[in-house]
Amino acid sequence: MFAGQVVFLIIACLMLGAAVRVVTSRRIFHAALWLIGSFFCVAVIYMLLESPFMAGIQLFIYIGGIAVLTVIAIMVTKGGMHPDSHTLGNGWSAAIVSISLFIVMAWTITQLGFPNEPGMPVAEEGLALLGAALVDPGGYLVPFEVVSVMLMVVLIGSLYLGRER
Amino acid sequence: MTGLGGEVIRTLLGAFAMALFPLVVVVFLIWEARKVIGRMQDRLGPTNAGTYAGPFALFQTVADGIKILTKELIIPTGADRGVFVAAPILVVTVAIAVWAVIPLGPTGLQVVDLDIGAFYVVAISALAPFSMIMAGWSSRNKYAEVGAFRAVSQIVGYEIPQVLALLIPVLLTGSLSLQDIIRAQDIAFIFVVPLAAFSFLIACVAEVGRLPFELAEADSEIVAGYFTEYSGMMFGAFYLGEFINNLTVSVIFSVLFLGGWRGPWVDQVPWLGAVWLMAKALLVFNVLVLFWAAMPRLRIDQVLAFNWKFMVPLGLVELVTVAIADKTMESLGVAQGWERSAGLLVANLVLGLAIVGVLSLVGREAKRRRSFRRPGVGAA
Amino acid sequence: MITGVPLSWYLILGAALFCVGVYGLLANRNLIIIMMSIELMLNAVVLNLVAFARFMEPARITGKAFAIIVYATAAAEAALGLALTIAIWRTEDTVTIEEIDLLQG
Repeated sequence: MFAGQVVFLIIACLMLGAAVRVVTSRRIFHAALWLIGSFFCVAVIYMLLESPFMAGIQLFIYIGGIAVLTVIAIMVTKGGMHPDSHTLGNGWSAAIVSISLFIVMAWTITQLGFPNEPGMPVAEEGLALLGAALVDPGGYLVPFEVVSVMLMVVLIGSLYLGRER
Repeated sequence: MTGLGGEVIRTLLGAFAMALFPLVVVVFLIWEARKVIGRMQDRLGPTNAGTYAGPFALFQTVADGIKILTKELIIPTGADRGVFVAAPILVVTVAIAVWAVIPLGPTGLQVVDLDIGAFYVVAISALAPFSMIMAGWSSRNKYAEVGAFRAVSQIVGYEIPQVLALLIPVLLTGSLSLQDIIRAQDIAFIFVVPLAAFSFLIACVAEVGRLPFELAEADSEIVAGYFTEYSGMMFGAFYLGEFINNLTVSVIFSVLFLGGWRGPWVDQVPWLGAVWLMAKALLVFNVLVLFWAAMPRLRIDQVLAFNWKFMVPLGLVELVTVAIADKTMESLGVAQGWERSAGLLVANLVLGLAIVGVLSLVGREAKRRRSFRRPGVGAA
Repeated sequence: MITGVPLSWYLILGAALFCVGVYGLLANRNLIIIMMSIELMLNAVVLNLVAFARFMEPARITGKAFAIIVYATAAAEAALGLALTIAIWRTEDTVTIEEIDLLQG
């Protein structure tokens, strides 16, 4: 077994453990902290995938943005939830659904025969190429601009929803 | 394999030394800040009056640290124990983690030269609000909670102008690596894009919560903000983390806008780079200390309004202006050397004058409207 | 650095994370935890995209460009969802999905 595999397995276990704590934790603030933990583990996985830029984005957007928003929402809606009534009565059926979904997906993945090693060497100028592709009319300019318009719409929309009435 | 092992050990040793470095420097910076503030306020600052603490009471901070270590760690009843203890650890960890990419010298004097160095700094500092939220939430204390709310709204807001200002050196260099940014500064960027440097400095002061942005721990309003309930070494961790953050933003400002380790004779003696960098950082740090000693505290709504109504638009306009000016000069054939810098400086000065003009117009308009509404008050 | 971890491991990890998200979505009654579960699922998707970009693509751009756009969408989704949650909390004083019954009249 290679060192890389051991590291991967450790990180994967931490990540899944944190994710399970997110969905089963009784105190919602703890759920948010576990969520941050699992986001952080995903960032480490990106480092293993030799994509430091994606790891940075993961930290910046997910932890610095989305998780902060979530925590603020939790602090604002304090008292809107009884501490011991998080789960619906259907825990077992939900578990069966998600486990069978996982078994189907894992079986499919193992049947498809994906490559074991990346065939290509690491490109040096990856980041510059990515930046150029995002603003290249032949590349991803249209989705990029659509996303920017969407962000603007969301900004105005959430301001409208969140204002005091 | 032995070569790889040696490499790993050397990196680990380097990381350890680099993690120790800010801790050691900060011990003396705390002394220096207290001395400077003391003089500003017509006091002496730390002295050897009671017990001897080295020449000029230089080791006062060490004595304070030993005292704080002997104190009892009190965890309030009803506090969320795990989160309460984890928060101070996270503060110091995040504060030190940034130092992994800071280049103290041309080569070798850096733990790792990430090609996304500048972005790494931003991404790691995005973790900082969480220690405050964790501390504020787990304390079960109203003041702590208010402090955490204030800290988060302030830090998340001021992150935007900070990142916008940081993008400008990146834009001029064409690289996110801090080494490349330093190497590109034949003329320090503060003389090329002074407006960006200005807004980065303001955003950094707000980010580390120094006066006039010291609302998260405003002691006359909410005791000590998010770390009200902490005592002993856990309080010490917050205090230390805060000072390390002050030093870190000073160093990052020096790297981005003052040319980092560049200075005379660095080519011959590489370790001199660390001296130059620390000298520049000390200069910036003392600017922060002077703010600290001289400024009054703003209100939270003033702080947030200043960010969203002035800093963010300023950052956006500055970014667009620099990008357009740079591209225009490139198409005119001036893409190198001091001519490009001079052109960008002119663009910045014009923009700065325009902003001052707009502000004075807006101010006059607001004053006129105020006097119109309340004639008795406005006329006086 | 990546030595010996096959692509399928990353994909199975992504599938597992996704299924944890599905469980959270089905079994919780708190709107905010449901939002968190959706974030976990989106993260699993992006993990797959980055893994595919690393293994299947020479320039490693398409996967990452997709991932960046998914990130922007996720940020928008979180902002809007949480704004909705807070708006509901203001009018209904609850964030429990069973108690939100405006449409039942």
